Amino acid sequence: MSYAVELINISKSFGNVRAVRNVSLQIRKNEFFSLLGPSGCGKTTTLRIIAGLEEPDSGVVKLDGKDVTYVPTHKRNIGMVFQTLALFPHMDVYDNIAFGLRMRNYPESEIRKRVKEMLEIVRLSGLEHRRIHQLSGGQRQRVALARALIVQPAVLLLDEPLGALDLKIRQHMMVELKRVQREVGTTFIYVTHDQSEAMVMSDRIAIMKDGVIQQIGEPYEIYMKPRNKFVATFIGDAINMIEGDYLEPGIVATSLGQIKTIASDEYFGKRVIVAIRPEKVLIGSEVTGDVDNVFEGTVSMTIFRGAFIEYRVMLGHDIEFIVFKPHVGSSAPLLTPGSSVKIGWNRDSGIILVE
Amino acid sequence: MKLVDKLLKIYTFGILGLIYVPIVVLIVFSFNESKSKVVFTGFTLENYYRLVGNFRVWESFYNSIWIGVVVTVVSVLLAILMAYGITRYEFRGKTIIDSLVLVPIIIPEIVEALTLLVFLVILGIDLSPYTIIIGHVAFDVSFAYVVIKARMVGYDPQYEEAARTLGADELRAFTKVTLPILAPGIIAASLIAFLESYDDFIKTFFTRPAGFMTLPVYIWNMASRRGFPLDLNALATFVVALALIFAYIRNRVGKGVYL
Amino acid sequence: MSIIDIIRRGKKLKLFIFIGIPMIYLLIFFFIPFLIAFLYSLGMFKQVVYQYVFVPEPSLEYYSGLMKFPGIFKSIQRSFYYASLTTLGTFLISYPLTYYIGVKLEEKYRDLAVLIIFTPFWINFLLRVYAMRFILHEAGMINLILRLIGIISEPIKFLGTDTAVIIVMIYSYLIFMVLPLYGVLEKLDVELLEAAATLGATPFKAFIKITLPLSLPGILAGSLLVFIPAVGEFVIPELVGGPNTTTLGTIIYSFFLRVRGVTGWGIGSAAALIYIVLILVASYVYMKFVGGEVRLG
Repeated sequence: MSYAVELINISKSFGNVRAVRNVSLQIRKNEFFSLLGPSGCGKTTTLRIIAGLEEPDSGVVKLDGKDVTYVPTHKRNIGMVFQTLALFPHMDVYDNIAFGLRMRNYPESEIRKRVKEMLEIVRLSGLEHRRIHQLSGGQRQRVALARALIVQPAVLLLDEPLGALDLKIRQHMMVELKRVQREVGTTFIYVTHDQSEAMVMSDRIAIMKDGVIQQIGEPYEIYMKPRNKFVATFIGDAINMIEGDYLEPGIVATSLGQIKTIASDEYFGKRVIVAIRPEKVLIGSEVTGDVDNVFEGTVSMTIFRGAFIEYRVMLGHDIEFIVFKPHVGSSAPLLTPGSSVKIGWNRDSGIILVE
Repeated sequence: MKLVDKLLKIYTFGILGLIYVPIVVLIVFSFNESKSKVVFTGFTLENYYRLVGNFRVWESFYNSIWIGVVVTVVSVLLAILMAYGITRYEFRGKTIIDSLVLVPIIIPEIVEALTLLVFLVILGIDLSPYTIIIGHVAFDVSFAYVVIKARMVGYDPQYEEAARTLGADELRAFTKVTLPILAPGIIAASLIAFLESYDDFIKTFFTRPAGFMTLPVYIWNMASRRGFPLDLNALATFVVALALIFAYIRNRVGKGVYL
Repeated sequence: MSIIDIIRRGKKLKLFIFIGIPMIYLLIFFFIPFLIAFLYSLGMFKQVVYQYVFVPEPSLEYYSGLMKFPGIFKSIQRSFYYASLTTLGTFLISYPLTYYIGVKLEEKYRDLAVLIIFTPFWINFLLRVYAMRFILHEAGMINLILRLIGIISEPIKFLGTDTAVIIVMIYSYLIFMVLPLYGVLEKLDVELLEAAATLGATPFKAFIKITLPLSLPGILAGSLLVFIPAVGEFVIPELVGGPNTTTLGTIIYSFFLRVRGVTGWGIGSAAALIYIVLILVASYVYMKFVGGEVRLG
């Protein structure tokens, strides 16, 4: 079986800037795949190379197994939702959605039928003859989606389409996008700098930095087993990190003393970072005798975050730990800043990273 | 500060009114008996009868219009090409070319007119309505370019890319999406190009064949005799009516529904 | 490969179509004529029967001919005098006007206000100049009003004087100052003035420290758009001026279309080149003096 999209050793420079370096990717059919990274990481360029809006300096682009590296955009059978949406301001909703079919010279009767179906899928029926400037942000999003999907593209490319929306509508549209993707069964490639968007919608995520892919994996995998420090910090709200030397199996020597970790020969003798997600850290009465790593600290800040409470705990002089605690019982007393507290975690909660 | 604002308001309305005074006076005197030309002595339509029967006026007017239309079409087409090229492509010498196009706006018209005349005569090209057109286009391109380029700079290339991802080749993306979106800018540029040509006196005067007249040349011939030919006042009434129509069109175009 | 494919692939061809065609037009009908007129003013084209031949021996005879023309320096001086006063006058009139329209006036009325200013410019320039003759005449409106309010008892003769020329020039060139000024003032962010107020600036101080500096590009563009053509103006001095209002423009005009002949044109071209050099120097000095850069469009 061929992949929906396959990139082989793609590189692209703009002047002296190497936007994309040797990127290889295989995206499966009907997959919701995200390219995630900070701005300037090359994710949009990668997407535009798939669309044929940029030509790579080297490498091969395959769509459905066929080499399309030098095939012009309009012959690629792709759909794209742009960052600005790029809805044609001189056309109404209907004409915008019908545009792709008209370019393919479909008869008007067929176009009418398909636009009607598509409007139902994106839940915009009845708004056919609205002008673009009369629509809300969310509605525009749907028009852009419908316009790109109506030509039944093999791949739908989305370039940060939710960026301009309010948080609430954005959360709603994330779920909508996922629903539409299931409904139409098309491969989606989604570019974003917002990790929560990528986590919510994607089957798999590729994380990029400086034009290089750092890690590809399912959201859970990337969150739980980040491959390097960049991925660990980029994904998730926060992460605690302590540097040290992996000198004997399952033990890392740090400035806080020895930390017990999972044992793995590959780190032997190396400088490593032990990383622990804030929700994995136990605090106060949770720290019982059988916890692997236990440290004394002072609460420096208590922040009410709604669904949980965030504590900042100073260990020694210069290491601050972030701890997330769901407030299960309403009577659980808050720890006040200045109070001493024990924190700890079990060895399998720690992630070992190499710089 | 409230007082200052009030004074500013009165001043602004005053100036807006004042710039119309000469035009109103012109029209008022078009109904004047021609015996005493600058004192209103009595109402007559005589000046209008003379205007209607004046074949030279209408011929000149016709020349101004058709030359204006040809000039507008040619210069706007050239300006679209140029503005598109400058905003879409990267190439060496781009900034130099971009500023070279603006030179005709800065160079005084009388200098442009005489250099073109010298050039034509040295090449042995006979003066004709077409030499007028050539001259008008050479500086109307710049005006049209400024307006269209301003529009194109604000034009998001993603519109065109969107069209291409939807299956439009470059040509169709341009005609179906780019051109319609730029239309208000193009119409505005056309109006300016037309106005510049229709009201041009100096370049026309230098590069016209003997005896060939456009409206400004006709007015010059009448007005430079130092008297007060009241047919011109009657003509002014007609021209003012035209101006109002143009202004109306300009206003409609200016209120583009988008961007 | 279809034609379309060839066009799509060939960036050179596209550049030729988009940039090349318009530039070739300007080159042939604008820049080359300029060069030719320059060579002509140096006497490098001689008429042989009905044809011109190129003689690669530059001479300054036309320039010295121009310098010997009676009153030439006075006329050049007068041209700059008219142009400077026109520039100053249009600026003083336009600034409060555009400030009110662009900053104070409610946004929905702004387009209308600009339209009201712009509409007269759809009426032929020559007709507007001609109209001013009615106003400036001894029996015209200005004299009438001045007499009614008792400032004068005898009519003032405006026509034929510097005053008439300058008044009509200010009237005619007003729009070229208004549009660039409006362009910058309309974009002025009112929050900047509010920020200045919260920092303790009086409205007057805020105007001097913020509004004025921010409108500088418009002032520069407007001044040059008025000043440069105003120096060479010949229609207005011809129509409302008299024998004492000759300018660089009227001199070029008479050499070209009244004196005519190879010499007339030679001297006329020389005058045109001197004109260009003078305004380039004047604009340069002006920009150095005021500071900032000029942006057209």
